[in-house]
Amino acid sequence: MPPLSPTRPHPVTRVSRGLFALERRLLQALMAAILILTLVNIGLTIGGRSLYWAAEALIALMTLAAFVGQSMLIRTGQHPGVTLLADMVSPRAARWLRMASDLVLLGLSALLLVLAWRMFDLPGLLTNWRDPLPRAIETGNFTWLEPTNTLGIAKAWIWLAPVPFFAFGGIHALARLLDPQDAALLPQEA
Amino acid sequence: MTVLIFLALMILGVPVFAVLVLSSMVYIGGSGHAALFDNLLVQLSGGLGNFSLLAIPLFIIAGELMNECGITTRLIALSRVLVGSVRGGLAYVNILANAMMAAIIGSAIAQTAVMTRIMVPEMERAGYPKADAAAMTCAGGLLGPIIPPSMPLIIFAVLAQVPVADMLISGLVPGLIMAASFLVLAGVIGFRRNYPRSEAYARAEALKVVVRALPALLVPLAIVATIVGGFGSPTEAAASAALVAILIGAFVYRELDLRRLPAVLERAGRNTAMVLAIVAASAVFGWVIIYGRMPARLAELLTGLTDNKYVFLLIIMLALLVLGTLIDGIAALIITVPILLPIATGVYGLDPVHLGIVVTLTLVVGLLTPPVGAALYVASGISGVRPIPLFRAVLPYIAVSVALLLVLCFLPVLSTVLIR
Repeated sequence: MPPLSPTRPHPVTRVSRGLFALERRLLQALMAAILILTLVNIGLTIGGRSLYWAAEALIALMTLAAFVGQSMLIRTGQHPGVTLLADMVSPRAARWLRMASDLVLLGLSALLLVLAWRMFDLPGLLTNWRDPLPRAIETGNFTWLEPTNTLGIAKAWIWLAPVPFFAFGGIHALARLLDPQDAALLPQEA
Repeated sequence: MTVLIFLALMILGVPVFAVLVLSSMVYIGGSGHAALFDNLLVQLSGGLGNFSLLAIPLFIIAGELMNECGITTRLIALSRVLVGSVRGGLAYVNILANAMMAAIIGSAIAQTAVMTRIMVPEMERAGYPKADAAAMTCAGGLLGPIIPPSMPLIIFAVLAQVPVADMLISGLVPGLIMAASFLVLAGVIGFRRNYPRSEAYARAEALKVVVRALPALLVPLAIVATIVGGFGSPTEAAASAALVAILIGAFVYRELDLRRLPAVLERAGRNTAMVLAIVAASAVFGWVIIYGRMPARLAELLTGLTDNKYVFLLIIMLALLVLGTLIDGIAALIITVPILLPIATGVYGLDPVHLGIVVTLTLVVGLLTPPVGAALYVASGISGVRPIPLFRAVLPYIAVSVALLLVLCFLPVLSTVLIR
């Protein structure tokens, strides 16, 4: 694969590119899994024995795919937004608007990570992952005790799955701020 | 304060999902109930925790696969055989092919992009004014979110807690009326502007095109029949359509390169994320709106204005037409439905399915109007026709759509006839 940028990219940009490549593969796998699991379940249902956990697993896969794709869209700048002002002003002013938008996305990623840190009580989880109940009683945070209906894991794992992609989205937004031309060189379409 | 932040971020061009989440955060921060922050991530992920939403990625995968397998081009060829040989024939082909594609894709933007790329250059070569060609293509794209399957109608059904199949079926009659109205309008414009006449196919050639198109035609028919006939859920219809598209593409048309499948899935994934990120963010926004008692406040305001349900609907339509020109249709749908639904059904006794059709169609019309008419800009970007001349050419189609909206508003039976 030829280098994406003619100049030496910023280290954050290199990390962002690596994450983007990873997200592409993951998104392809998730979409394939959604299609295959749905078709398998339809086939099994016709045969009289459906997978009782399929609905919950499919929702989890779809949720994860949405957040993986969301992070990728930050990298490529393809998220739907109101571009009326950017279309009306000079290219230079439009660049400033785009940077302001990326700055807001960076801030949002940071805020979501702070909320995730508070909600999931990660230090508490690391020290009490075998038995989270005493810690939950101590802190009043019962996030890790609510089970899924059919998958047999805590719901918190499903809520937690998108969190890394908040961080990746933040890294993509930072890369766009540091190296604005790089995102334009990424493959917009697979 | 929240409204100001919302508007400022929107105008700045911040992505819609981020605007919704940040405005919700600002509202929570200002309300003094910081404990709500601890539940925000659950609302964000939980906004997608509905099995019916699974129809969205599956229909997007099916649409991408059908395009990749050569099904789109065969449906257009079939339309040429059916209506292409009269004066302005390609205009009818455009609308008819759009109606067929609407039974596969379900998104106005995706459909407009696909059809503009194919139809506008062909119509321009045949001597049609380029602006007219682009205008009727993006107007035809409006059929995507009305004729089942439809992304906005699936989302409305999830929000309003009505059966997704009922909601999709209720779009069929309005969608067909809209397609017929566009055909008549294209005929009138074609007659006045002297559109060129296309050459008719020779009988043997026409027969060959029809036979080649039959497997392609099977797919949209199977989707609509599965949903309308109640043979399966929209999710099952979408997954089965994707499988059929793979089989037809690989074994009948032999155009599907299996090595391209990862790329197709990735494209479908990104398009899915565009929709679902807004759905997830809007779940947070809707939660905050309801917490702020906004529906109750608006209900008090509206009931003070009128107690007539049709006047209420007209007020809503006018507000949504304006809103639809300013923000993305799906975002507008998700923001407004939690506010409007309890008032419409609880205070004015409206059928939620009727409301869903009127609200969705109103917001869909906004896709053709500046400043944020996404379908208009997609058609403009791909065809090269500047937005203002394109808007001028699309105005008659907007007028017909608004007239149809009024008919649907006063005749709820057109929306509910197939589900009652």
